[in-house]
Amino acid sequence: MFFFIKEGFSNFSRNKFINIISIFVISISIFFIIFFYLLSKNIGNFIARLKSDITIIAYLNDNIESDSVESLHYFLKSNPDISEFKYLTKQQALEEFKDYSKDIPELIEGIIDNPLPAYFEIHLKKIDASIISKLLSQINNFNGIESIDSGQKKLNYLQTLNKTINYILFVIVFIMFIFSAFIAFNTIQLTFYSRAAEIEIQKLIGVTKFFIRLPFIIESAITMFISSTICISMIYIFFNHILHKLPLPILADLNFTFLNQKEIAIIYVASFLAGLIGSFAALSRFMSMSIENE
Amino acid sequence: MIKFSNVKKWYQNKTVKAIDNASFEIKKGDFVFLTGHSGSGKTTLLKLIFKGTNPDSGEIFVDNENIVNIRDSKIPYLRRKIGVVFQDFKLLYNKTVYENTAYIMNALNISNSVIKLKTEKILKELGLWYKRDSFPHTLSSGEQQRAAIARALSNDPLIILADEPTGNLDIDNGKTIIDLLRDLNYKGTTIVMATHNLDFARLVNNSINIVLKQGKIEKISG
Repeated sequence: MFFFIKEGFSNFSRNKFINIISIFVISISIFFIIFFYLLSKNIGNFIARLKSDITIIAYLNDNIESDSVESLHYFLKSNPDISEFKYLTKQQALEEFKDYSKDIPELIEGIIDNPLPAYFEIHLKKIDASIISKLLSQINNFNGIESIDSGQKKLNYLQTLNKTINYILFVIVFIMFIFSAFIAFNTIQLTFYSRAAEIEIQKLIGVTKFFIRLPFIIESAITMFISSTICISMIYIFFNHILHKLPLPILADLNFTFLNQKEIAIIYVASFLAGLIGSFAALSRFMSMSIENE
Repeated sequence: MIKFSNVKKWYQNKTVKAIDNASFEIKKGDFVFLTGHSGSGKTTLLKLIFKGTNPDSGEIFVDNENIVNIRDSKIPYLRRKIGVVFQDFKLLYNKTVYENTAYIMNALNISNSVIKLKTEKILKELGLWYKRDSFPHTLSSGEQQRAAIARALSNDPLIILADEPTGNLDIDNGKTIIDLLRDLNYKGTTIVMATHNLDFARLVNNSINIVLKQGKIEKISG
């Protein structure tokens, strides 16, 4: 095995030019896949954060009886889907409004009677349309409910947006993947074409297919490892040092996160496997040719 | 060692006859010259021996084994019995002289210490030890051909097939190569050498000359 690994590294260094071209082409191919994947992941995270901000506000009638408030309070407290809630009386609602609007004193001065209702602000453990719908019907059964702002419209909008963006990015990543696999396979094949004579000679002197293949496969694995490393480094620099310096306010809201360790490991393993399969397939074409046909 | 029985080989969809009903036998330790004009079938005949091509009919035996129908996976093992020396050397150009010579021994899983000893011995015998770290493109034609012979010898083949090994060399280097092959033959290796230069054939005593003409064996002498 040591011989094969040594051969793989030796071949890699002695065929620098073609290997550098391979690394360059493959790095660019992988770069686009990871770039769009990260874009999809970060937009998904952003939408998830927006979804987590969704709250249900149950406004109460001014003449609601205290027993009804108590029973609603008890229901919310015992409901397993609710992470937290708060109750504001009419007066507290007004105080909160005044505090919120302190920069616009004209607005506060105009208030004579308190027009604001008392309300419950409810936060859910999991933002899910079916949970919200169930909770709304349960709250509506209580006496003294004036209206409910459920955030369902916002949720529906975000879910549609999320699905659309994910679909578009999935299609892009898929196309990029096919494109990259095609480019990578052809690059590997071109590398082997440039060394067809070497393979022919190896066959002529009685070397088995396994012995011919293994150093080439190790060489491809080295190429893929270096390509992945360059690509991950390029993306790291782009996301961590360039992107947040761009004068786009939305980027601050998006709060980009880089690849985690598991994702980096997957990229390396996937690249290695792609190199393995690509080189195996490309070599098989050479191997199946008889010397007579070469 | 090598036996041809009614071997026929056609090229280009059976329009060009390369070998026409060839039958002959080469015994262990023979030094055989295949002579004839260009296109007479010398190279095809050599290719048939190392299974570089398949006959259309007939039987070919190498070391008592009929090689016509052997499986593809067995071909490398057949070729290990045969050292082939080509006119264009066919050296591995990204490997040094030492690595070219040792290459097949690595494939045979021979221990490193044996490979070192044997490679050193062969390269010293062929006067190439001082060029062991050189790549083929830095060598002269004569040195490249000697390196090709060194590689062919490295796994102690029963047979050496040499296809116009002197074709790209001047007279002196050509004679050196013939001397090397003659020495190997003295040590018991069967040599089959294709050449169109009959002067080289005259340098080897007791050699056999198979004369080919348009794929047919015209004469066997010696």
